This record gives sequence, C-alpha cells and structure tokens, in this order.
Amino acid sequence: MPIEFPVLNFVAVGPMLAVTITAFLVMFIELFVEDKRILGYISLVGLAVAAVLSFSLMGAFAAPAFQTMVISDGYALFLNLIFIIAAALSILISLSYLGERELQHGEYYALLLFATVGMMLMGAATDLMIVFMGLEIMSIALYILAAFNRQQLGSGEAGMKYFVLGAFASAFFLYGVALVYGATGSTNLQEIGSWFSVDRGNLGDPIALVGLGLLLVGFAFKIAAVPFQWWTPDVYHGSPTSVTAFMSVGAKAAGFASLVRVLMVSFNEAFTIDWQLALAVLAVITMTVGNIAALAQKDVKRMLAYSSIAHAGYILVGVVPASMIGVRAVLFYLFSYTFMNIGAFAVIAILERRSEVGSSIQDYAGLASRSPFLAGMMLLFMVSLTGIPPFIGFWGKLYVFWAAVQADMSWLAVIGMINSAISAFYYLGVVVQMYMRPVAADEDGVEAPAFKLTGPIMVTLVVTAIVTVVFGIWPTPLFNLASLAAFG
Amino acid sequence: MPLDYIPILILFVIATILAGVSLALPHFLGPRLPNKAKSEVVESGKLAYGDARRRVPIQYYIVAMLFIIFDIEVLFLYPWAVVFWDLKWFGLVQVGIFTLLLIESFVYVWKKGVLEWE
Amino acid sequence: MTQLIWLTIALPILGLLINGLFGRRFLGNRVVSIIAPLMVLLAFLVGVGAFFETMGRDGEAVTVHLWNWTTIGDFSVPINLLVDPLSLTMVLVVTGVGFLIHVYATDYMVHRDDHGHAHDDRDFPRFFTFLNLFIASMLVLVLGDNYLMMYVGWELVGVSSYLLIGYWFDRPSEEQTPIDLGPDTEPVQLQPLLSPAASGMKAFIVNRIGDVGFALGVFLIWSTFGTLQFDEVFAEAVHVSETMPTVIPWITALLFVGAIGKSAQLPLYVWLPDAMAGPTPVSALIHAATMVTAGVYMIVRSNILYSLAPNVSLWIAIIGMATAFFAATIALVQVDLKRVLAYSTVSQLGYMFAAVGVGAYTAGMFHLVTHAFFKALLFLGAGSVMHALHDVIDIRRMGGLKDKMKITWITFWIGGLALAGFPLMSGFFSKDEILAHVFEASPILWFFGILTAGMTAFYTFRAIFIAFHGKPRDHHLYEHAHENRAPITFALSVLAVLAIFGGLLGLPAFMGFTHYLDGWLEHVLYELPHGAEEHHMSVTMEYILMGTSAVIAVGGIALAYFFYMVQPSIPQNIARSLRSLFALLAHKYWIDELYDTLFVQPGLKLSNAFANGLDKLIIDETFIDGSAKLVGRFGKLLSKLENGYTSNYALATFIGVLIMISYFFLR
Repeated sequence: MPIEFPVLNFVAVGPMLAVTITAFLVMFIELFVEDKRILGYISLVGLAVAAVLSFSLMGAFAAPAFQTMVISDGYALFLNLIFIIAAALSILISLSYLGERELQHGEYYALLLFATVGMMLMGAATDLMIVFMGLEIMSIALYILAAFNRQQLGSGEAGMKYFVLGAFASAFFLYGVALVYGATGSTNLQEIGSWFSVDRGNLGDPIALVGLGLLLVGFAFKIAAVPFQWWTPDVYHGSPTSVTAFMSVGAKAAGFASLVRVLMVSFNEAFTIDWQLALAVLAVITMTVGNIAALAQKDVKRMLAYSSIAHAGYILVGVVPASMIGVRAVLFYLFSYTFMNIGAFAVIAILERRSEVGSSIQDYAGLASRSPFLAGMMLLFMVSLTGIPPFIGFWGKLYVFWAAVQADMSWLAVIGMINSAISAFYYLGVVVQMYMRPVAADEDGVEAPAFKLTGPIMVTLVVTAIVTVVFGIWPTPLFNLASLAAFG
Repeated sequence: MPLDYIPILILFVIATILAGVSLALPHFLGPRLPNKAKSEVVESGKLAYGDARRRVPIQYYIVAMLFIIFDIEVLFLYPWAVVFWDLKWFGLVQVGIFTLLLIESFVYVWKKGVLEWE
Repeated sequence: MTQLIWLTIALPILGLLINGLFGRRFLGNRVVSIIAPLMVLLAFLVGVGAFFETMGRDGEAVTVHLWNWTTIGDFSVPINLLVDPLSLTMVLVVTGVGFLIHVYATDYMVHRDDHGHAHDDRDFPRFFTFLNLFIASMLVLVLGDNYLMMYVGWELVGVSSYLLIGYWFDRPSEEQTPIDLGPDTEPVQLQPLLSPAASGMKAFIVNRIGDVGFALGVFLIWSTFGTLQFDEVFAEAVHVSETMPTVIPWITALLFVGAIGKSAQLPLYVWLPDAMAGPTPVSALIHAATMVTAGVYMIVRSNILYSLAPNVSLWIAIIGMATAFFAATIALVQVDLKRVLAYSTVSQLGYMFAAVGVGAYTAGMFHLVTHAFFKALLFLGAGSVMHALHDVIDIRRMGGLKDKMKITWITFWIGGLALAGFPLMSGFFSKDEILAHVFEASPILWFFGILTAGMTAFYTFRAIFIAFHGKPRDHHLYEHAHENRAPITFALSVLAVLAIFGGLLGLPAFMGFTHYLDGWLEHVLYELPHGAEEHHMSVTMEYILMGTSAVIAVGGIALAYFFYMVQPSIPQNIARSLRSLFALLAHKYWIDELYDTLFVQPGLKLSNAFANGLDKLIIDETFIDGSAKLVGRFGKLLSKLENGYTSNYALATFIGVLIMISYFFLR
C-alpha cells in the first residue's frame, strides 16, 4: 500500500523555521557560554535570516502550505517583518536592560523567539486551529517572559495575571472555534467563507455567528480592547520593560493580524451585517477608556499601557469597515506603532530605577537638562504617538480614520480624532515634565535615577527615531508596501 | 436553528435533576452511625501517619513532569514503526530530526541540573 | 545635473546634520569648518552643472519630480523642484556667495586677542549648522515649483534668520556714545542698540506680520485657481483676470505684503537695521545678499500676476522708491558702519522693487545679482574691520585703517564704488537700467531715484573716508589693527572681482552690447497676449540718463571727499545749524518709538487684558481646567476599577462576554 505524501511546502514557512531553529540553537548554546549576551546577538542573526527569507518570498506567488493550514502571502510576510522588527528591537533593549538587572538568561531570548514564531504563525494561519496554536505558542512564551524578573513581586504578579486571564480568554476563543466548526463543518477559513457565501443561505446562522462573537472576544483580549483589557495595565506595568515593549507591539499586531484575516476571508459579509456595529462600539469604548484612564496615571509605564489600549481602539477603527483601505491602514498603523512605541519603551527602560517596578513621571522632571538626547527622543515619540505631523504616527491615524470615512462611518473618525486630542494631554504631560520642570528628588530624597546609555539600546533609539521621522516626512513607500501586502 | 438544540437543553435539565436526586436521597434514607474507625483516613488499607498536607520536594514534580513529557514523545514512535517500510527514507529522516530534538532537550535538562537530587 | 538639483538642498542638509549632531562632540571645529563650506561648494557646482545644461536647452524649464509627499485617494501632494533660468540664477547667487561667506566665516568665528592668541567662538558648530540650514531653506524657497513650497522656504529662512541674528543670545544690549556736535551744542543722544536676542525676536515678529499677508495670498491663489503649481496658476492667470478682475490685484497685493516684511520695505523695514546684531557673515549672507531679496524673486516669479495688476505694481514702484529715498536719508548720519550698510541695503532693495513695480523684471534681477556681490563684499569688509578691531564698529573710533589693512581697504573701495554707481562698475549698469525704466514710467519717481543715488554715493564714501582715511582716532585700536587671514581676504578678493565685472551680465543694449541676462530670463517672463505697447526711449535719452547717473555718482563721492577729507568742519557745522533735522535722522525718524507707542504697548496691554481676564479666568479656569478636571476625575474612577484582583478582572471579562452575546440575541 503506497502512501501518498502530502505537499508540505516548507519554503512557505521558511521564516518561521528560521526563527524556531534559532530558538533551539539559543537554548542549546546557552549551556556552554558564560556571557549570555552572545545569545542575544545570535537571536538577532536568526531574525535577520528570517527577515531576508520573508523579503525573498514577498514577490513570489502566495503559496499555501501544510494543506492550506498556513499561507505565505504578502500579508503574512509584511506582518512577519513587523514581528521580526519588534523582536529585534526588543532584544536590543534587553541586551542593556537585562544586564543591568542581572537577568541575562538564555531562556529569555529563546522564549522571545518562540513568541515571535507564534505571532508569525498567527499572521500566516488559514485555519482556526492553527490560529489557536499560534495564539498559544505566543501567549505561553509571553506568560513566562512577563514573570521573568522573578525577584520582583510585580513581575510575578504580571505573569500570573496574564496567565490566568489569558487562559480564560483562550477558552472563549476555543469555544468560538467549536461553535463555528459545529455550524460550518470546517475550521478552514476559506471553507468557512464559502459556507457563508450568499447563495448557500447561511448568512444569518446564529450558531456560527455566536461563534464569531466568541472569536472576537479571544482576539479582543489579545489586542487589549475594552472590556477585555483588564490585564493590560497590571501586566505591562509589572513585566520587564523590554518584554512590555515587545508585548505591547508584537502581541497586538499578531492579534490584529489574524482578526483581520478571519474577518476578511471567512466572515466578511456575515460580519458586516451582524457584528460590525458591535465592533465599532467596542472601538469607541476602547479608545475612550484607554485615553481617559491614561490621564490619571502617575507612572509613565502604566500610562503607556493605557495608551496602548487607546491605540488598539484606533486600529479597530481601521478593522471595522472590513475593507481593503481599512486593511492597508491597519497594516500601516501596526508598522508605525511598532517603532514609536518601542522607542518610547526604550527610553523608559533606560530611566527605570533598578529596584522598582514602573517608572514614575517624577523621574522625567528636568530630563532635558540632564540628557537633551534622551529628552529629545522621548519628545519625538510622544509627539508621534499623539499623531502630530510630520511624524509617522500622524499618517497611521490619518489612514485609519480615512478608511472609516470611506465606509460611511465618519462619526467613528470624528470620535477617533477627539480621542487623539485627549491623548495629547498625557503624552505632552511627559514633555512638560522633561522640559519645563526642574530635576526633582523623590519622596525619600533620592535624586533622579542614574542612567547610562549603552550601545544596543542606542541603536534601538536611533533606528526607531529615524523611521519615525523619515516615514513621517515621506510615508508613500511604506504605504505602497502596505497596499501590496493587503489581500489581493 | 435554536429549536434544534432543545433536546440538549432537556438533557441538561434531566442530568442536573438526576445528579441532585442521587446526592439528596442517601442523605434522607441512609442511617447514620459514626464511630472512630469510620472517620479515619483511608489510605489503601495502610495505617495513616502524619498530615497529608506536607511539603514534597520540588524535584519530584519536575521529574514527574519530565517523565510524562518524554514518555508521550516516545509514543510518537509507534505509528512510525507501523508504517516504517512504506515511509522509507522520508520517515527515517523525519524521525531522526525528531529524535535529535528529543536528545537536545534531554541534554538541556541534564546540563541545567534538573535531574540532580539533593 | 538638472535631475540632481535636489542635491543642492540635500548637501547643506547633510552638512547641518553632520555638524549639528557630531560637530561639537566628535568632529571638532576644524573639521566643522571644512564640512560646512564644502557642502555649499558642492551645491554650487551642482548648480553650475545645471546652469550649463539649461543653457544648452536654451533656457527651457524642467520640473524635477522628487516624490509624492502623500497620496490619499485621488489627492496627492507632489514634491517637485523647478529648474529654470530664474531659479538657477538664485541658486547660483545663494550657493556662490554663500560659499564665499562660509569660507570667510571659518576665520571670522575665531576670535584673536591682541597677542594673536586664537580661540574659537563658543558655539562654533552651532553657527555653521544654522548657516547651512539657511542655505538649504533658501534653496527650498527658490527651487519649489509651487507657492506652498515657496511658503515653506519663506518661513524656514525666517527661522534661520532668527536663529542667526540671536546667535550671540547672551550678549546684552549696548549703549551708544552720543554724537558730539562741537563745544557749544548739546550732543545728540542715541538709543541703545538692541541685544542680539531681542533683535532676533524683533526680526521674526515683524516678518510674521508680513507672512500673514503672504499666507493669505497663497490661500487666495488656492481658492481661485484650485492649485498652487506655478505653471498651472500662470496658465490660468489671464483667463481668471478676465472673469474675476478683482482677484488678481488682491492676490498680488497680499503677496507683496509678505515681500514688504521679508525684504524690509516701508513700513516694515524696522527689523533689518537691528538684525545687524547678528554675526557679520550672517548680515552679509542673509540680510544683504540673499534672504531679503526673496520678495523680489517672488514678484519676478509671479511676474504675469503682477503684469495683470498694474495698479498694484504702481504702488510697489512707489513704495520701493519711497523706501529707497527714506532709508538713504537715515544712512547719511549713521555712525555704526554696519548700520550704514543696513540702511543702504533697505535702500537698494527699494530700487529693486521700484524696478519690478514698473515691469522691469530683468533689471530688478540684475540689480539683485550685482547687489548680492557688492553688498556682501561691503559687509564682509566691515566685518574684516570689526574683526581686526575686536568688534568695534563705530566709525568714530576708526580712521587711517588703509595703512593697516590694505586688502580690506582696496576691496571696500571697490564695493563702495559699485554701490555708489561709479561708471563701469557692476552697480552702475544695474542701477542705471532701473533708473532708465523708472524714468519711462514716471519722471517724478526717477527724480527721487537719482537723488537717492547721489545720497548713496555720499554716505558710502563718508563711511569709507572716516573709517579708512585720515588720522587714527583711537590709537590703541589702531596699533593693534592688522590685516586678516587668508579665508577673509580670499572671500573679499573674489567678491571684489565680481563687484567690478558683474555688470558684464547686463551691458546696456542700446549701446550695442548683448544683455545676457535679458536673453537668459526670457523664458521666465510672460508676454501678455494683448501686448503692453512697447515705446522705447530714444537712444539719446538713454545716454542722457546714463550720463546724469554717472555725474551724480561722481558728484556724491566728490562731495564726501570734500566734506570729510578737505574740510571736516563743514559736516559738523551743518549738523549744528540743522540740529533738529540731524537728530531726527540720527533717531531714524523715531519710527521705532512710534511703532512702540502705536502698536507694541497697546498690543501688550491688550494681550495682558486677554491673558489675565478672558483667558485665565474664563477660558482657562472654567472651560479648559474644568473639562480637564472632569475628564481627570473620570480617569481616576476608571483606574479605581482596575483594582488588581484577578478574580474581578475575570468577572468583568465574563460580563463583557455576556453583554456581547446578549447584544447579539437582543439586536
């Protein structure tokens, strides 16, 4: 009895394989080296290989692999780039940040790479089971990373909370998958899509639609949308800053990646009829709650956690229309957010006190006089996150809101803009502290924290700043790339 | 349509009632004659000693976990063995990679000192 | 090279990035002083390449498309550079003169004490960073192919000018010694000079007033034409002026308001003399040769619009000539060498506006170019003197410097002759061409023009005779004066050659020469279809006018010689007998004080009233703080919900799920 071998197409998953192998290598080499920083550099090399592979696949035909379980189309590859960049920049931060806190362990880099693989899998998955698998690979690695600074109570708390709530949300997601499977008889996105196609009269099927609702819950948890955002502030605050930077960007991008693919491929029409308004409301609540809660924060890291909730809201505005323009805008936004947010967290990582969790806004007072460079960098990222031209954040917001306007949802764009204005309060609050307040000692009379700029973290700052400025002045090439990456 | 799922709801209800009844009935019907031997901890016929909630060395859990993991991983070799001749070189190479990964993790565990028991 | 014209902007930006980011910490001042001029030189060479290519194309314009700034749907903003004879002329002047001034500054910004010990200016790299920034900004202004880019450049040069005027921002304001009018007359008190920081502010604010007009003009163009591209606007202009006859006069008038501010015309000229507080290379580059001529460039660029608005043009000519005359009278009595030159710049800019006002666009550009040469030369010469005398600029403390500073003396003479319009020098031809065209339009304006020319010759040589000739007045200064080093004398020499031979660009056509500039700019100037009737003056008339100019110039110089070399008592006697007039001139007609009482003080009071009353009490405390507090409270409430209990979070998440599902069923 001859066995028919399935066509696997390993080439299509090349970038993931590269990162996976690197992760194993890192764990193995870790056993034999004293200076764990080498592992960081090895990881960077692995990520570079993955990036090159992604690039080289970009022109090629969108190839399904593992019997339509994953696909390497422009969309997945563009997202691969985002994940790789996020991981690489976080590793650069980690090289400095972990060293100062004596947390250099090989497992850290390996886990970060595994999380990256999970994200890539989510971006490329064309089957709900694979989406779930990617989600779990990413999440479990992140749970551990969140608790990585185990000497700190806050870090352990972050890991624990993230794990418990994450498992809770995964359960909903899985239940959603089950319902969708029960109704449609398939977990393949394409097949679900054709099951929903108009002529088969399944558009209003409640079971499948409740399933979609639960899938939305699972995604909403990962992207930190209200009312599933509760874990975000505590986890972002407690985790090591290098991990927070990675999580806030990578996990969010991965969540959006597969949310958009699921909506566009499987549920397009069903979604527009039954869930669009709900998601729009979710977007509004998300950005409003994120922004307003951020106003009250006294801790910069926590403030950025809330702000990341708000940004999830803005990006949702691009998802809601379920249109090509929207997808493009979301991709652009995710790319831009990657750079400006990691840049901001890099500054926080530098200024964080060794012995504490978080980074009080007091520590930023008078930063401009202590380090004009750092203050200038922070200013740049804050301004860009607010969405003021000519920085990259402005274009992200513009495109996202534009997508809403095109879909006759101008009200959504207007609310988004009002929210941007609110966000200026707290972003520029940091700027005011840095430039207009004298250097302050904290309650115990301890002077502002000492800091030092080391090579890798400088690279992060400079790279993120350059991208923020250059694509801010000239967004067209990036936008063209995002357009190519959107489906079709 | 939702109506189709009514039987399931009925099943739920019946199951709940049945479970409740079977828990409640002995409470009312059974005679109660407690004595010392009856209220003792039963541990497979052995005499109980000490408190059940005592500390167990962490290595116990780790080793148990590792045992289960490797045990399950090895399980994958069975299906391969069944179609060994049909898969030819392809199967051999694949299992070779699989085994290498297993060995790598074993080396990792070993080097990390997880297997040491103090 | 034409396609690479963006390099002329990119190179100075590269220079400013290198010097700004690494200059102080890593490179050191010597490297900085190589990089900054080098970048401008390379830009100049690119400009020269483009120049020859454009010559080869017979002056045809080329639009270089760089990139689309943004594309949203059908709306896109292309970034284009326009390479044509007009913009290239400006590019060559800006980068050419700019390069010489950069070279000059490399030595000027090194201070030497009496013993020859050199120490660099404290912020050496910052100076060159800003200087490169200015070059890049000015090139954006002249190379843009639309009014938006012109506006961006317009504002950028304003910013760089502000930064450079206030470069020595911690220097205080200076008292001036009163002008002594002899034993029995009360000396004329002078106002203290503004500090560099205050001067920078003044320049910026006064410019902003003009910029409002410019911006409104650009808006009006946009709403009228629906585009800001030069070619599209100009193609539509004739049609628009027929259908909407009032629009074009408004556009041109508003744009001219911008030019009044930037090019220091009446009544907004007040910032330019104070701008002399900046380092001298800045005065030479920005406030003489390039930036202040932006207004002239703008009008020549929009020549078709101005041709279609004859009334506005006439007003431009009148304002220009009035400025020329008015500023020249003030320059007669100034005792500060740089301020003499500053008022002279205002005056010469007036000439240029008079020229473009009467439609003589080529003549305006011609004078722009020659003025760039000889005025930069004069400023650099003044700077050379200052450098040798440790920043003393009061001509009453100089005298006899010709023996100590040969090169500076000779080149200053050349610049002075060119400015005075001495026959065969560059300024002679360009000024004469303007005056001829002005005479054609209005003999009255010409009369003021020729009067101004006489005064120009007089005050220029008054300064030269006092500063360089006669006996030294301050012996300590004189003893330590010395000729400057090669970078300074090099720049002076090259500019001197240009100041002599710059006139070759536009030798008068009626004498049978080729007017190169005329042919060169031909493609840029639009002919009106119905054709303004061309009535040429007779050649005899041209000769008479030219002769008059020559005589007036020589006469002015001779008078100065007589007053300050032969009979030095005469000027003092005149000043004594006309003391009130003299004081009026010395106080610059009290214009600054007038503006202060009329606008600045009431403005301050009004803004104080708004700030403390309306804004602070009502807007700030009630609306802004009120709403901020409200939102802030809400924020606190939300963070209270975030209470840290995982079980609560799980419950809240579950409630969220329930709400979503029930939404679905209750929909």
